[in-house]
Amino acid sequence: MHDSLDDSSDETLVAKVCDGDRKAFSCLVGRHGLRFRAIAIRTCGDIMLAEEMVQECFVKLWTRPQSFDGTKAKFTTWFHRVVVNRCLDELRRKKPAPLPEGFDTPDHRPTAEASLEADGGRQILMAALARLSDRQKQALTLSYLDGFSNMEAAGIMDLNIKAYESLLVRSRAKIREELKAEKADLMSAFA
Amino acid sequence: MAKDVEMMSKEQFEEGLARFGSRVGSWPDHMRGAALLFAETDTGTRLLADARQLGQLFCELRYSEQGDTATDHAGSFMERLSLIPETHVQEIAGPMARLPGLVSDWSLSSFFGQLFDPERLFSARGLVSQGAFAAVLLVSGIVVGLEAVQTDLQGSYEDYDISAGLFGDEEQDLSFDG
Repeated sequence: MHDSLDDSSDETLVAKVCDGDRKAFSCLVGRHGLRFRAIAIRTCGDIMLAEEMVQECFVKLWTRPQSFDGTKAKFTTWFHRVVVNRCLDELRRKKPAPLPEGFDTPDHRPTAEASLEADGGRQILMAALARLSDRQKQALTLSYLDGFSNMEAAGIMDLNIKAYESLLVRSRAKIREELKAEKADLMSAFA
Repeated sequence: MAKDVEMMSKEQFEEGLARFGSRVGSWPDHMRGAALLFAETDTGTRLLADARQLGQLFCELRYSEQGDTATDHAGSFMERLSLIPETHVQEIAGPMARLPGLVSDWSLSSFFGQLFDPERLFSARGLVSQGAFAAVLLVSGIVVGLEAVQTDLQGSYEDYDISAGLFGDEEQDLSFDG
């Protein structure tokens, strides 16, 4: 019984979840729980919040599995969109009210020394990613961290393939600039 | 390389990098020649170096995330997820909304299979099968009951009225002494 579940596609498992099959749900959790946790952490930048968001999405998957329409998209494509949108909604909701005009906002980004001390490459990339727009960041992470094909990623972002690839080109150009700026910061810190 | 190959523009090269990655040698045939020509220019060399460095950084980040997952409290998170079916009830609207679909792909043999299958006893299909079975039983009971009542009405109620004989005949003497 369990072997046949392991061999089943995600879409078949969701159909079984619709029939109240707990083992099918456990199988989906085992396959994708950590992956979507990593995606949510990257989107939220906060482990606790990310776990809360992913848990909420899995609760919805269990209580209302019929929301997924297997004829329209793959499960991973659909669920990725559900998780990321939930994270972005939460971030927008928690965004603090704008400060009065002229208020000098402190820079919370890690200093160049701290970045280098922690682990150079990763911190630099995270800092550069944080400076991109949500869509640019999402395009880069879908293609280079989550391992989706351009076609799947376009589906997740609700774009046609041409528009997605143009966004990807712009995002790559932007992150190149940001990486150079980060490196320049590091160099000036050493100078 | 053929001499009539035209060098591609910077924009086309960047688009190719986004679509096919930094290994220009494995790009599709119709683009490869033009891309290799551009890759030899200063701009091409710089773009390729940047693309490889970006790929390397993303690769490091991916591996470090996997490492984090192994060391942080991801285990308890997974445990919480697996407990969701114990703590949350599925919404009944779901199976009811799927009722037309459920009915359409039913066959008579699978109907009885689902009705008595212990694994599907509380599944949507199982519950609908049991409901349908109970409804059929109820309707047959009502029909049989109505038939019986109709048959009974055709006979006289006097058959069951034990006092009918006492008041029906005025000439009957009811005195104790007869």
